[in-house]
Amino acid sequence: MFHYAKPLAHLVAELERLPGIGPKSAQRMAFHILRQPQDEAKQLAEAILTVKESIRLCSVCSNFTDQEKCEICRDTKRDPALLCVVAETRDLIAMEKTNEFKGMYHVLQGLISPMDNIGPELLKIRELFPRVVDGVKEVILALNPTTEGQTTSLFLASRLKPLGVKVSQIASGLPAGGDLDYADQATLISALQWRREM
Amino acid sequence: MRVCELKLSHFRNYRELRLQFGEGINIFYGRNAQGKTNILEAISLLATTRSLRASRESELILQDEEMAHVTAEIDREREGDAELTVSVFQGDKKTVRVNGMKRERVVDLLGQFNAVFFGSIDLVIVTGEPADRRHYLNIEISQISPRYVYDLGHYKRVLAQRNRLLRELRDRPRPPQEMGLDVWNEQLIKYGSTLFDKRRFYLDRLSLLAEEIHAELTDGRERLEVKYLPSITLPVKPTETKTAETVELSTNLSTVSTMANNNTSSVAEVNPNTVRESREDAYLHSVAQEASQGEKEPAPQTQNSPAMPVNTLESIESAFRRQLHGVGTEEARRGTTLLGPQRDDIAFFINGTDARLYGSQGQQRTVALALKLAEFRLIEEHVGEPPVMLLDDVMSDLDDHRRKHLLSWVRRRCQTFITCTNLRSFPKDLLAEASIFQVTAGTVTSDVRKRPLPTRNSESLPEQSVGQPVEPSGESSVGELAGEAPAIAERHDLAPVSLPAVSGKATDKPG
Repeated sequence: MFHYAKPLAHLVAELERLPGIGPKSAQRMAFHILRQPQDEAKQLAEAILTVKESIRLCSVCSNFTDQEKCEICRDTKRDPALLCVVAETRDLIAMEKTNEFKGMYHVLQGLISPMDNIGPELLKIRELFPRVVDGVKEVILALNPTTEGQTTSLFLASRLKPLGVKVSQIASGLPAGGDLDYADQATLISALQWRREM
Repeated sequence: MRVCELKLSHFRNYRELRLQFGEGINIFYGRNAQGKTNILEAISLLATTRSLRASRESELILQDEEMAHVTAEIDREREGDAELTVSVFQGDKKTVRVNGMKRERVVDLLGQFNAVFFGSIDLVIVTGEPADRRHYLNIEISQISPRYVYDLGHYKRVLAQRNRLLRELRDRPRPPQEMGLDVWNEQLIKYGSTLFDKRRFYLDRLSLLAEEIHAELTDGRERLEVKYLPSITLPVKPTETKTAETVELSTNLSTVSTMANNNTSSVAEVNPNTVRESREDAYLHSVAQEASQGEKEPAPQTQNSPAMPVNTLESIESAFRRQLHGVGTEEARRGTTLLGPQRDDIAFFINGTDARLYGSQGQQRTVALALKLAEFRLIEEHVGEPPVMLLDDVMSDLDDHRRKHLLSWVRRRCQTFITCTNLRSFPKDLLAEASIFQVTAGTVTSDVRKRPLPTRNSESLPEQSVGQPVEPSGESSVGELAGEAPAIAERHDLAPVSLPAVSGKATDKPG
């Protein structure tokens, strides 16, 4: 039986370890790289190395940055009294795309999940408290409406409230512009739960 | 509610199958292991989204195939027609479609179509493990409460997470508060309490109906009592005297309000109606304190208003909270959750004796039947029209009296699907109006020979064999008629012609 030459097999195996990449995709990507001009492949390899070397966590909010403080934390036009807590940098990006929120962020880098061996001590929670004490008026929890997201929100709320800060949670329910009768039951149940008086 | 048409594709032993059903009773007969129950299982899958028998859902897929589909045209009095589809894929994945539109979640199919299944496997509701009874409860409540499925899903997840955390803390002790145990406790209490509440509410109504039906089934000779055995001591309901509708309403409202408050219960509203209950609470509190003597850990943070719960769900939550606190030391020692709906059970008493342990098989079967018929009535009441009834091979298991009762019960009440090995147990007039299907090794043939009743199948109607000669006598009579003018050669020629009919008969016989 024929096998790929060793370096090629090695590349396929490495690519297969990436999230969402199965054996077929890994092969396709490997062959694509193989056919690329030398300098393009080199650019890819360098980009991978550079990201590992230069990206670190922001000293203030734990967002990914290539500097001591991230761009948002350096922005003096933002409102330091509003603090939005998200689980991942990609959630921060999603919030930023709305162009609506002008406060600061805090990235937990995960959610509490004992089954994945993630306890509160492994998240960027310890870094959150000094920030809250330092002039924050409201903490907005923007975590996923999953069991783990809810539990993490409850954890943070119970620890933050004694500090005298207002703690809120983003609403969960119908998507904007969505049809009521196409919404799934879990979403409707949630929308009903989080209804507000008019 | 009825199934007009059913299409199976690569489902169990059916490659492709398309069947149209009668409005009333549909009978599938044939030898064992031909695929009769698979048809009932397909219909049940559309109602519950769960397989009746498979431990892994990919077992539903025909061997060597990638996926199986079950599609049905459903006719509903209240909501009109719908086409429902459940697709099962290798790796136990499922998708559902309503009128061709794929739904986000599988549970979104629930409530579209209702069916009640009764078969020999249901005996485990009475004779099986507590887990079997909880499974039964979960499936039944999910048919009338999608909310229950949602809460159950969250609860299971919370339970798994909390168990993991307790085990971690036992193996590598750290301050539980730092690891967020208090928050997992609150999540367990929140979702667990809604499950306790729903189960009690459902069983309260189910037991009334089941007890009544059971009395009918036994001609009043036996008295059934169905008792919910929750894993915690539930507080006495403040709404005990209200009607069922009011209870449901208040339960729903309380659920919503508690969620909205996010567990920060308000001490302000003290209802004078709850005085009796607060006594119960005080008792529970003292029990919990006794149990937790010597435990230093303070009560969880939401304990600041334990005094007077103002509604059912809140009172269940505070009872659960106290009792959970009471077993805290033991949970820490064992590294697992000791209280919660995952430890519930149901007891069945016949004339005061526990039928789970001491009932005869006949009695246990009758209890299971009474429960199923009660469930039928509950769904009917809830949905506003009768569900479909699926009876799997029950004709041979029931005695004459109960069989007659069951048949007259379903007749003209709902669309019914019955599997059996022969048609012997059915009254003549019922067979006359029923749709009859013969199932042989994955082929289903609609039996159009109704009225006059089928005569070719000796096994189908032994009592009626009067009318028609079936066995070789049939041929000989033909032979004799022909024999008036006849040559022996002609008689001899007749034989091969009639032979296929004879061999055809043989396959119809029960194995």
